Amino acid sequence: MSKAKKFLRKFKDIKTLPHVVTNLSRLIADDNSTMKDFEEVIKMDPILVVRLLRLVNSPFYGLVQRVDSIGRAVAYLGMKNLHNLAVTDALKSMFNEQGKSRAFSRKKLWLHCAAVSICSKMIAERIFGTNGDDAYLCGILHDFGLIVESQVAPNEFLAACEAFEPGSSLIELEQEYLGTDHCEIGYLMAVDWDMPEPIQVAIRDHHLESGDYAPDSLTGIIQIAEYITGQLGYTALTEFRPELPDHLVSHMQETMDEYKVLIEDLPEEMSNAQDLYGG
Amino acid sequence: MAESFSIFDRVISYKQEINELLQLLQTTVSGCVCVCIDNDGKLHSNEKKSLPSDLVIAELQELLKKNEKQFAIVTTEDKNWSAIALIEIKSILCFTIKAKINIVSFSENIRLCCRLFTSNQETKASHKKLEILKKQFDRKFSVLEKKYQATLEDNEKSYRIIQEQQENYSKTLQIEIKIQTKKLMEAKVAAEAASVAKSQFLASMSHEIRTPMNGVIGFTELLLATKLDEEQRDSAETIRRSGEALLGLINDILDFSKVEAGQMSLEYIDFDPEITAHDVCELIRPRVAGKPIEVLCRIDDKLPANISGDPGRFRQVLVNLLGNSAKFTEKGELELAINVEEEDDKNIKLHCLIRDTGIGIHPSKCDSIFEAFKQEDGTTTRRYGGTGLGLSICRKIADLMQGKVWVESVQGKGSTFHFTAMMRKSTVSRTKTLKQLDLEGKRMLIVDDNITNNDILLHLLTNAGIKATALLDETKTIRTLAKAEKEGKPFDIAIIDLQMPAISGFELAKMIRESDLESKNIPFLAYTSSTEKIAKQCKEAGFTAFLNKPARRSILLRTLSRTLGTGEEAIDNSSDKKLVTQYSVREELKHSIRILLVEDNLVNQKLASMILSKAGYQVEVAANGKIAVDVFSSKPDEFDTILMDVQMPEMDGYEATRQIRKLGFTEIPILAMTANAMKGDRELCLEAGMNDYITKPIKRDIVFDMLNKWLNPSS
Repeated sequence: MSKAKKFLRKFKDIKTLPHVVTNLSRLIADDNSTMKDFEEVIKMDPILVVRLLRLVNSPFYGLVQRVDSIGRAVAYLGMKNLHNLAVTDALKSMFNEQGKSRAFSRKKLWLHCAAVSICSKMIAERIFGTNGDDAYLCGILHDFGLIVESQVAPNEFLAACEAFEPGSSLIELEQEYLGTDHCEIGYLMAVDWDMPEPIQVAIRDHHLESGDYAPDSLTGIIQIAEYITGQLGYTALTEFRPELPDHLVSHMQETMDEYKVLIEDLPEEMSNAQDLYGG
Repeated sequence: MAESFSIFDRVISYKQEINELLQLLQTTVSGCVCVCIDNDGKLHSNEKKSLPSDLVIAELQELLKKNEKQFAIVTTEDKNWSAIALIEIKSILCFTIKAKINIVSFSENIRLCCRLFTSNQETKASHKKLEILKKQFDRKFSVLEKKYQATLEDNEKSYRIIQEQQENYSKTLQIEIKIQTKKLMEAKVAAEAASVAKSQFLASMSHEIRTPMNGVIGFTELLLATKLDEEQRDSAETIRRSGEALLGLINDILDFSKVEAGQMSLEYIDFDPEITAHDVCELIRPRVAGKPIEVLCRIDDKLPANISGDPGRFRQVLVNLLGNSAKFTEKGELELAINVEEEDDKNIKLHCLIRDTGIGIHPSKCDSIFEAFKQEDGTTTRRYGGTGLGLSICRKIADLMQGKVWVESVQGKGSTFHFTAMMRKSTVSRTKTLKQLDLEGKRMLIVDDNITNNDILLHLLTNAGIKATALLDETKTIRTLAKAEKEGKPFDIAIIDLQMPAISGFELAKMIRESDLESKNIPFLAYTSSTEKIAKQCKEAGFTAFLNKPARRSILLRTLSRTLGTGEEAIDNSSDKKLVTQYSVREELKHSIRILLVEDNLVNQKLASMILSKAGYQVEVAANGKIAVDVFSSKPDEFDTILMDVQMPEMDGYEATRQIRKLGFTEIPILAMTANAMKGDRELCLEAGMNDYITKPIKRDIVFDMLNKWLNPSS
């Protein structure tokens, strides 16, 4: 882990999450925070207010009434949801930088993260009937370790990407070229950002090929979403086709009909969420 | 979409669907053998006997690959077997005909069956999908419902926390307020204690300072009365002026601290405000000597001769305001007017106006100049002096008198200070005699270039029954006199101002005396605001009488009466006789007055007796109260008045006075001299039987005024 820590420390020297977002994460973790605190923190950044209101009013949330103040947005969507939006907004800009390599594109990775997060939310809500907000946030964050790697050690990271070919393991290549992998880095970062513990665990374990985690755990959901979006072509690396552990395969086969319907609806959800990850 | 998921293919089995299809075919198209090949290559058939050979199957699969049209039927070369692809269930249906029947219609039937089956399957699938969708959306809704509940709870919790915070906040605030209030109270008590201590300190300080000041000022005055050269006189004058300024300052500060400490109270004694007003004018006149300024005094006819109030404080305010006006005026007029604003059975409200033609005050400063130590701006002190206490004291005194002090001003044009005061009506009401009987019907000519003065005089004289005419232009005097003669109504007397722009009063008097008018020898009264010693000059110019402006009504009328020779003491108006002035009678009286001076302090003894002797009084000294009682009781007829110090060893002034009164000498005026300027002294003096009191250090003018008041009540 020490290598991962070094990566993270170097990354933090270059880029940090905006203060507003870290403050919001702190408030989410604090039981005694109120909507008013939340509102006041967001209001410190007027540009963020405008962007958040645009997102809140996007078709993804399908609100009947137009929301024109952060106070009402918090009341309508809840603090968690708004926090997710703020994180998405903050990360989007970090993913946005142009890379030169054909093997790795941050833009493509961002699309992958957006797809995984939307799909995770759908799985959580539609298959398991549980709150999908954490699943969404986890999807957005799960591959952020790759961004850290490409920022801190761009050459080694690109070499790892170029060495990748179908069937090989990206994790192993990262370990070989960088001495760590994006799961470790992502985990440390989630800890650093005060993310809820299930999210930390799911980021750490999202490439684990065996384990006794349940399909409806955050790790299970992220892996299933990664598999589904991978099959549909929303991959981080062009040739990457994620594998699914056996117990998750049997879970999907058992509830095949449900997943089929969900997969059919995924493109529409993605286009509804265009405002969140696009542009 | 789902086609790309190989993991699903592994578990999908179409056995049931194939059986359903075979069943359907058996019942609808009889006489044929149907074999279904599923996605795993397994054969399903309703008949076990005649299955197609692998070779046939391979041939059919090859043919189907070439013709991918939906529901296309392909047939082997020997026309024995035909096949149709069923994409939905990923199977191929092979069939052969047992009997010799129409092969074309038979194939068509099979195709129709397959179509029917397919659409049946599709319907089933979409039913299933709808069900699943419903199930999933139900889940999603329950999630949203939970979320909604959670949000509601969150909101509630938030509001609760906010409410708690607010409660805590208000609690802390209240505690904070309590603490602050307590601190404030402590500070207030401390400040009040400090204020009391300060007042006491000031009172005793003022007493201590007054005593040496008495010596300084008094002896300077004596020094000035001796023969001095120019330089010495100048130095002595400076000492006196500075001493008086210092005394004034001490008085101001004492007054101020008294008011601040709430110790200033008013007394109610009878006095004539008109006399007070004229006194004030007289006091101020020397301050504007040398400047072209007329000091005027206008008294309301309705003003009673006697009202009850605090003459000292009333006078103090007027002196302060008029003195203030004098300080800031370089030319023009100073007018002091007293009007009656309202009156009822018991009370009378006086409205005094002090108008000047000075530099004026900026409107924004009209209020702040009444605050302590505030002048119009910083430069005022440098240019005009003063402590900035006077106006503040005026306002406080006015407050005590249930009145107000304020100012109206136009910068560069002048200011008018207003002072209102509520007084009580005197129990001994003396109506003013407006008329002087012996003057009624007389014709008088007033020559003065000041219109206000003419107004005042005309009003006053007309009220006295005199037919007065006022002339603003002195060059028309001779013409007016001549015209009056021609009409048979010659003037009986002329009142002439001394300072006029074209012809001075002296020249005018000479001109008339030297003219050939019939009335060239009528008496002339010189009426002037000049304080210079000009009596001799007046006499030479041919004036009969001389009066300082502004003169009190009674003095003016009496002087006129004397001048005209119609009064009881007719005076010859020939030029070698003495000039009639307001002092001429008084001076004669002074010399016959004998005073018993009771004073223990040697310096003061010497000072007082020197002042009095020089002024022509006869003085005998007693060193303390006991001696005074003995001396006086042994020869009471030899004294006209007693000046009594209050604090003395052996027997103090109070006790001595009580004893003298006890012995039956109730008529002799006893005047106290005290260094205590504090409240209550006057009461103590009066209680002990004294008639009045003088504050030390004693000053000539005040002593003389006081003596005059008690020994010569008629003036």
